[in-house]
Amino acid sequence: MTNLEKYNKIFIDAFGADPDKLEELRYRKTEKWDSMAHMDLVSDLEEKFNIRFSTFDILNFTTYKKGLEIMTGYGVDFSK
Amino acid sequence: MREEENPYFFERNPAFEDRTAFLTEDGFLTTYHDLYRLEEQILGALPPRSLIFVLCRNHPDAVAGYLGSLRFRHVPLLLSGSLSADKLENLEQLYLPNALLLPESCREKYRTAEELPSFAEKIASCPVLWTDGCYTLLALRDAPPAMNPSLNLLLSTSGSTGSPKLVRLSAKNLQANARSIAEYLEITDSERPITSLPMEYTYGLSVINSHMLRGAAVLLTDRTFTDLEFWNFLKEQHATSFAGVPYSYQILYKLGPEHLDLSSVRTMTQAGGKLPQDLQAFFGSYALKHRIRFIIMYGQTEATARMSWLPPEECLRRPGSIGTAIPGGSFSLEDENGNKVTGPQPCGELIYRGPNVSLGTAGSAQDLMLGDTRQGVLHTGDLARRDRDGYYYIIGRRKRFLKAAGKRLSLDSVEAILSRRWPSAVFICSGTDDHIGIYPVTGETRGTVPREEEILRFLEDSLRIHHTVFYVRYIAEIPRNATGKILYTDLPD
Repeated sequence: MTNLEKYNKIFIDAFGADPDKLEELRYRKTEKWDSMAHMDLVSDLEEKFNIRFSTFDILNFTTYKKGLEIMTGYGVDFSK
Repeated sequence: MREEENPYFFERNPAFEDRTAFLTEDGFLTTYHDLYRLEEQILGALPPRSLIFVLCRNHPDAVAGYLGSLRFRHVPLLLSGSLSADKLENLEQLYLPNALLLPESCREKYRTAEELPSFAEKIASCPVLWTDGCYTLLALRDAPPAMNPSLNLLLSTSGSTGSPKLVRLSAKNLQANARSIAEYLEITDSERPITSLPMEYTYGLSVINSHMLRGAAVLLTDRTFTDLEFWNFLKEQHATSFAGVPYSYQILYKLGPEHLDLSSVRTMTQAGGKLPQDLQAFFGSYALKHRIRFIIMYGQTEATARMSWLPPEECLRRPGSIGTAIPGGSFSLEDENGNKVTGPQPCGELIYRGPNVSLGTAGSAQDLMLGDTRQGVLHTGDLARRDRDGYYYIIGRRKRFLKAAGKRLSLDSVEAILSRRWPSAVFICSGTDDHIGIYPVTGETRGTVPREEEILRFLEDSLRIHHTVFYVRYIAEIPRNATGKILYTDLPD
């Protein structure tokens, strides 16, 4: 599985999201992406990618796309 | 103290008129004078003793609708602004309110609820009594149901689940609890709490009530600890306190309070369930270091909100304690036969007495005629112990203790032994005497979930109770309410 596939799968599993509409996912706009789900998502990503988000990045991780940028900042290569 | 020195917190107080009542994220400021006028505008067209459903956001209109309802002796029922159409319809049919105050966005949602065409039609055709574009007051019926004169507020105990069971509260209950809280938290008019919990939740509401009593300014927001905007608002408007349930403090721990600017914060309170002891130690130490008061409290909607508090200087010394009864209230412990338990370290059901004990509960409109069925005494349903110095500790829900094959067994201890046996799996337990449900949570388990036969064999071996007492049901996730509390009643049979 590529890093992107791994990343996508976490969103699909967490929010029951349509794989073609991942870019539409937004914290508090997507029904299932509430405060509780957000912390689960963050923990899940940390575990699967073996990283640890800063306070600011946890709070700034508000869309699927923003997450990609943030993760890249932790050295996750989404071209692999 | 004389009554006239302590007007009800929801009454018009001339001394507060020029003070700030609310601040919102967009910089909107409401003075107490504006608040009183807003209350008059929203509710001016209603018949006396109206029953008003209020769909809550932490928004000035919703708080004004609530406070104004109390001031004009109507009866509001506070509900979550995210309540689904079917749950609202169910409550509406049961309690027959004559008015509904709701955000415009909710009205739009209900008006187009395809699955409930008759309800959608009703919402669409109701006369609008008042609107400001954010909130709207609708007339649902010509007249309210008959209600007992002592009834002033209805609250749901389960947040957003829309359970039909409501707690009946009087103005005296609300005032007594607001006064106790303001006293032990030493609230002054210079406080600026930020709403970190929904106002329809009794704990969130108690923050508003106790600060209105003293003429303080409340920072209103629907955002919470997981939002960057929440922390920015807190910082920019110099919030002096926030409130959190155990889950809030878990989030705060994960975020790392050292990385947030909390320099204006003087008080952090915790209630809504037992805080894990490692978090009590962590936040107790953090607070000490930063000269913040960290105050653990205990309460129930049935007691308006608060029943106990642990003074901040005791926090690190008494892990797991809920403290002592709030000013004006008292605790005692009773055994299964209703006798008072005494002795050096007694244990029993926690009984609370105080002026904030609710009138009782309601299950339908007829019950709104009931008077004070509790008479100031609340059986909390929690088992507790008391230490030598008089501090109380909750052991668990009384219902979480039952008999299995003649043995006394705690469902929490069954969860604990299962977690020790399968550390990567998550289990919750629920049930009745001799009929104990084991619910492995597949969605929260890392690795393989143990098979039914394995679980049953393990329980039979370790507890020496025949396996037929237990049943296993796999669930995808733990049913929780908006504040993270497990809803055992929502588990499959």
